[in-house]
Amino acid sequence: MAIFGSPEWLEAFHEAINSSQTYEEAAKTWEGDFYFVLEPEGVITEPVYYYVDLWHGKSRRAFVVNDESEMQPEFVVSAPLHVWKRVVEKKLDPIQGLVTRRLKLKGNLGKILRAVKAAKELVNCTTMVSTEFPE
Amino acid sequence: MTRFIVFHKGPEDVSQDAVIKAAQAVQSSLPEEIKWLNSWFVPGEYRLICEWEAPDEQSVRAALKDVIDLFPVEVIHEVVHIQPEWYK
Repeated sequence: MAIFGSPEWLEAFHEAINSSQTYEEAAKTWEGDFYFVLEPEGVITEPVYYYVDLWHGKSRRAFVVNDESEMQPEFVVSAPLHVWKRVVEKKLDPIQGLVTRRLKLKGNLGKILRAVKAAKELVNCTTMVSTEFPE
Repeated sequence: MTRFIVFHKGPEDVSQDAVIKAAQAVQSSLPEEIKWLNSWFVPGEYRLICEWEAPDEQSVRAALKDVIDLFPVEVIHEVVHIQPEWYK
């Protein structure tokens, strides 16, 4: 069991992506890297930046970034913990989250909307990680 | 009231803010007799399909005036709603 957002969780997520044939097929043409940002809320007192480099159905790199300026990803998706929890638990569709700004996005929304299946399969990959949410 | 289905082409390059502002602009400026009922996004075709209730097609087009640059209208069909409950 890994705590959501911990380096161990991110490593397990990275491995889950790379072991998912369904994600690989859905995202076979995807080229784009992300910051997934855990915004301060409750026990999270400072923003945490997770860099994930997604390329042609695989995760090339995934790591926690200490300094936001360390990477310049194409997309930045930000939300507090309770929203990410709803996404991971499939109570909030990621596309619904993006078009209603529950998930805040910097980057071309149009490019993501063209890759809805890949986005959903990426969320499915999170369910392959045994996850515990910080209280 | 008559129903209409509007097919929009998805935007090539668009920010989250632009999409949300456009949707809010449409919703906030609707006359009482026009209702935006539902929308579906078709990922494979990159189209948006929206269901409206309005007196006529021109009313729907007028309601969409602020978003046609972002989501160009491909076609508007006047439709008849069929409810599954009718067949129970």
